[in-house]
Amino acid sequence: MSAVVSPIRRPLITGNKTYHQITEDLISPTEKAPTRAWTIGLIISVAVLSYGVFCILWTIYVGIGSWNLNRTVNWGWDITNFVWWIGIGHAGTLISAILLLFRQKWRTGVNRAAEAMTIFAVMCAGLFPLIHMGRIWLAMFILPYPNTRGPLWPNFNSPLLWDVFAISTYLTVSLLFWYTGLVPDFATVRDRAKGMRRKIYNFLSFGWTGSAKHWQRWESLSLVLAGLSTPLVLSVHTIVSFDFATSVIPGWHTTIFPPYFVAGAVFSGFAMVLTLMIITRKLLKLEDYITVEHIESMNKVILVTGTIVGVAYLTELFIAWYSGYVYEQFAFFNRALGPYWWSYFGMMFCNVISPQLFWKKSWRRNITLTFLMSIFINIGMWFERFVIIATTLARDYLPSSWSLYSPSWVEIGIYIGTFGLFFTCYLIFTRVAPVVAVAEVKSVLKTGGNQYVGENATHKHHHEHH
Amino acid sequence: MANNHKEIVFGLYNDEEDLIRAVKEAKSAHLDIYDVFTPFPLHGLDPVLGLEESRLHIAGFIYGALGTLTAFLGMTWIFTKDWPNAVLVSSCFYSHHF
Repeated sequence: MSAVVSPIRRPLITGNKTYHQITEDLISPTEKAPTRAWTIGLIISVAVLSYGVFCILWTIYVGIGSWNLNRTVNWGWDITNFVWWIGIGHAGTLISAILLLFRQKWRTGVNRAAEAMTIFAVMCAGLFPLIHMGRIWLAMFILPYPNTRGPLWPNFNSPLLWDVFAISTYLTVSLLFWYTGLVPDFATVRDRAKGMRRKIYNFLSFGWTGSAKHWQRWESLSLVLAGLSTPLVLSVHTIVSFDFATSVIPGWHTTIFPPYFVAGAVFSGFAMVLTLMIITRKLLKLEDYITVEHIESMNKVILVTGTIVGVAYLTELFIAWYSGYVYEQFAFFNRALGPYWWSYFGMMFCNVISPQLFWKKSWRRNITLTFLMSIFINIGMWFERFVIIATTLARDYLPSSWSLYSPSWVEIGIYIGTFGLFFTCYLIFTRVAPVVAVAEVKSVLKTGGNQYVGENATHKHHHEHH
Repeated sequence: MANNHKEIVFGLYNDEEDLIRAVKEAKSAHLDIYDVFTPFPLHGLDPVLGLEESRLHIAGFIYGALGTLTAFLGMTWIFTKDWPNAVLVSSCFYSHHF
């Protein structure tokens, strides 16, 4: 590889790794017996997931009446959680697709785990609209297919139907992207395995040999999928925002929603990637692959998208005042100073004020602070969706219809249950697949790692001739 | 090399730059290269080996175009022929019908 040696670029992979060491470091966690921390984590996750499943079954058995929704507030925690989980998925797609097209090499350290996170987050998100239907056994009615009901088709003019397509496309493309990346790594696992394990990974890796032609097809497919995913990063949350923006509800009916939702999605997604990565790198000892450089790069994305979100909040306030439209003005007055003022200020504090700390370089590189911040942002972005959905609906046009909403134990249980689903999937993933893309990390080893010749270089470039 | 006599040479390299150099040397010595196996994609290897570019992206574009066309034609047929719907008066499918 005609690697570009930059004297100023810091290495992407630290620890002076050789290619073989990379394989050892990244594949061996899938080969060893699970650690105690992993087992405890899985037990807790499965327990939480079971409770979530119980609450979902309760909802299906009793009906949506088991939730605290009412005639005025007919979207509550369910849609809040749906938008929140979908948003979290966006970081994985941005890292694997947009950063691939922009040739950002640091993406190789985090893309595998971020894509896994995307898939699990979309699974959690998809649950909510399905159970919100009430009669989940009629869920196939949302799909357009020739039928005996008229024939009756779904309304193609409804953003709710666009959501069905946006999200199912998103899940499919993300899954393909993730699996494409996994094929060469599964082959590496296969080559080190014996017996049944070898057979399973042989099946999963589709007979991959690493031949020049395989890699050519693989890179071609990655590029096609990156091209398909890039518009999806923008379109999926744009369409989610249309669920609100095409309504006639003051506070929802705004043209700023699509860019504001997309920025918020990337913002919350990166926060969740950081939460997961900081734990994963510690537990699996991946500090040489997911370095402080990676964390700093992601914090820069958080700073940019958090600032965009902040500007969007202020623009909304300004436009509400400037429009001279009394219903719009009331909607925003009510958001900030109405009965749910605490969620508005929680949102403002977590999403707008706290990320501004990241203008300071040493704070961007501080792992403890980054972890705390990622939790703050996760909470803040949940508040944002709650503010938009529940507080807006609670104050209807007619004061006689005004209402308040707080979730029932079933709604809380389902939300907590999705964490169980998410972490169960993630923990299983860390055992069956390398959490860092082995082949992709190897391909960037020399561009900034071994060949780093700037100051503090601990290792000079060398050839091993044979 | 004699016509009825084949020799097979295996080369094993620890570094991708050595490998590319060896491939180039083998090519200039008119040796047939059966295949090159690497643990990660090597940029610059395909032109040296003389591999043709993959047509996967062209196929991808055609599939995408077909899918889009199917979706638009399907929606048009549903909204105008199969189940004309008065709710959709304002939509692009309808304005001239009602």
